Amino acid sequence: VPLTIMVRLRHGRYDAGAELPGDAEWPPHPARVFCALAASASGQADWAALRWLESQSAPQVHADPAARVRAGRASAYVVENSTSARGGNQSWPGRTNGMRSRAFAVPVTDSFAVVWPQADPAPGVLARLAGLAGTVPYVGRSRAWPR
Amino acid sequence: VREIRRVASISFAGLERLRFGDATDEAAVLARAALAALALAGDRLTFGGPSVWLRSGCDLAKTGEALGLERPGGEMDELTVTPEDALAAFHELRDRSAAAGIVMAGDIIVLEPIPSLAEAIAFAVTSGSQDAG
Repeated sequence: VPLTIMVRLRHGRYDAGAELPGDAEWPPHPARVFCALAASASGQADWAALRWLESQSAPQVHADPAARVRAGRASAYVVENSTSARGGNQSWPGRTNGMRSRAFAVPVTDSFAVVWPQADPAPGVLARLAGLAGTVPYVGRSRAWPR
Repeated sequence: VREIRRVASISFAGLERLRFGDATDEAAVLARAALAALALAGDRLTFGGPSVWLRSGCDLAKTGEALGLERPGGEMDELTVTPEDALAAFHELRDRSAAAGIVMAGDIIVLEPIPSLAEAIAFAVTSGSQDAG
């Protein structure tokens, strides 16, 4: 029985860098989805469900082909980790600002799916995974909102 | 540019991740709801009117708007929310959250532009639009 996690990009945009950070990642890496689920985990049952998921064979990614994906870049000032007596950031006293330019992808289809063709989770595990998926605020960078 | 479309969301999933120390579950829910109402109030105060002044010489007229609660799967329950509605909800939820143990800081932060920025703002709102064309 296949297990599918469908990700609908709330604003139609997938925001994640590829191996070269200046390039947009496409198709989305399954690890992005797994990490998003892990970030929502809050108890032993959640972690058990994720341990089950990571023990499955490699999943498939169903997504638009690259020819149907527009890549773009967005630049913005963000708070940096370095500190300075002169500060600079309005929300983090003593921290500096720095310009960051990040790549993103806009597929024609505003969704993609991660599919485990032969997974057969127990009902309790499936319920946990569904619950985790429902509480994921973003996949990739915080600008890429799923629904 | 023939059209500008703005899409904004308040993520309940994002609010769900906020933690409030040893507060009760009820207090945490109220605090999250207060923040959602505050965000909605900010959106409605900024964009709830019939037009938006984007910058000097660039006034945007609204041609349509949809506001709603999006359910899992994408279905939208349309809502009508005035800025007054959102502010009233925020004030009530902030007070209920405080009564339950989570008090929102009420400090007033006054932002004052540096002189050159103040001059630029004054110029933009008084005479900048006359340069159009």
